[in-house]
Amino acid sequence: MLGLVSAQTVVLNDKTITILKDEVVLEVSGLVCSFCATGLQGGLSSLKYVDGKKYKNGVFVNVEYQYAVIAEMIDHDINVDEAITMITKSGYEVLSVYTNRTGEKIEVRRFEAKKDEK
Amino acid sequence: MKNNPFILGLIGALVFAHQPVMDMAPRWNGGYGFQVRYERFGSDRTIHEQNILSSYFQQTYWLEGVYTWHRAKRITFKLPYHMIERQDADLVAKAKSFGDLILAVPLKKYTNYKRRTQNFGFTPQIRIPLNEEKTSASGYLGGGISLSYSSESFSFYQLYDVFGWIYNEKDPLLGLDINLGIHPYHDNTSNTGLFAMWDITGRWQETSTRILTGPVFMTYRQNIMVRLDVKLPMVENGKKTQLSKGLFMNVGIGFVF
Repeated sequence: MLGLVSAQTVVLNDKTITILKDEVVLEVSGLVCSFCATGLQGGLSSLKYVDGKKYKNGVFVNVEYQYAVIAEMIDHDINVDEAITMITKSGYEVLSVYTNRTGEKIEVRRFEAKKDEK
Repeated sequence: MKNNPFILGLIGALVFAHQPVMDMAPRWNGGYGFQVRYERFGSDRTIHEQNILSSYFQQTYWLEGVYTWHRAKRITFKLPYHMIERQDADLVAKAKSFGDLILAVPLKKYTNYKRRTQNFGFTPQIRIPLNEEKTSASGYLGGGISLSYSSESFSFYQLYDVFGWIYNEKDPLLGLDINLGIHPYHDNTSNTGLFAMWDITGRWQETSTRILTGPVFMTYRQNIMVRLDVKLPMVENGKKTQLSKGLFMNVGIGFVF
């Protein structure tokens, strides 16, 4: 089940996730291994405007349902394209990005799955 | 009960095919890691259950490292320190020394699926002797090639690795390692979890065939991983009288950054 969006929640891989106002949620294909989480957390937490007080240095990674949550500082947005590049360099692919900038409506960016990586 | 001096030189080292850190990490650009492993094996009985008053026991500490400069390209090293105790009738010999340095360049082609990731690996390896003196475990210049496939979902892990080694003054070696397992526990908040696997290790040389098998347990927390292998010989055949590999045990701790 890919990205069924309601007012404040989205269903990713059968898991209902609430998208908070100051968070970015990325659905990541191939994100299944334990050490994936370590690599992603390290990379994503170094992005500008990540709120390191939340989660583990501002990043939560769920390898069971293959998504990452980045907490943003209030009134600041992270650079989502940099986050996508970071995830790609970590060996994974971003399938979709969910934001809730206004706190009222979830916005979705979807990316075509590219299976092969060199 | 007659001793056969042939046997001791043939047991050799179990050339370990797995790559640091625990075959899994780091996958990210610029990632690096290292691990320390302790392994031991040996026996005082032959593969044909003959009583020959000989024994061979080997303990090895391995220092291993990996650097990933691109997610599909890594370089690794493995440096062993061997402690060998061998007995021929009344003659007991003990030796401690660094073994042969193994350098490898694992190249991986990853494919990501929605709830699974897999990779095919091609790994050229070279073994460089650090000492001129030859022992059963070291002193051989060699080159090897490994072909591997691994697949991982949240719940299952599998690894197949076929490899071959040739040496300057030693029989060529063909090997197969298989790891099949489950991932029964993972906590996303603390990134803590456990793998339980089964390992099958096959080694074929002109003079012997050995297949060992046993359980593997691996636990991790954040960037630290601990792995324990215990294996017993399931098949041991050889043209010459040889000692059994005996109980094989490996325990290691790895770190990635």
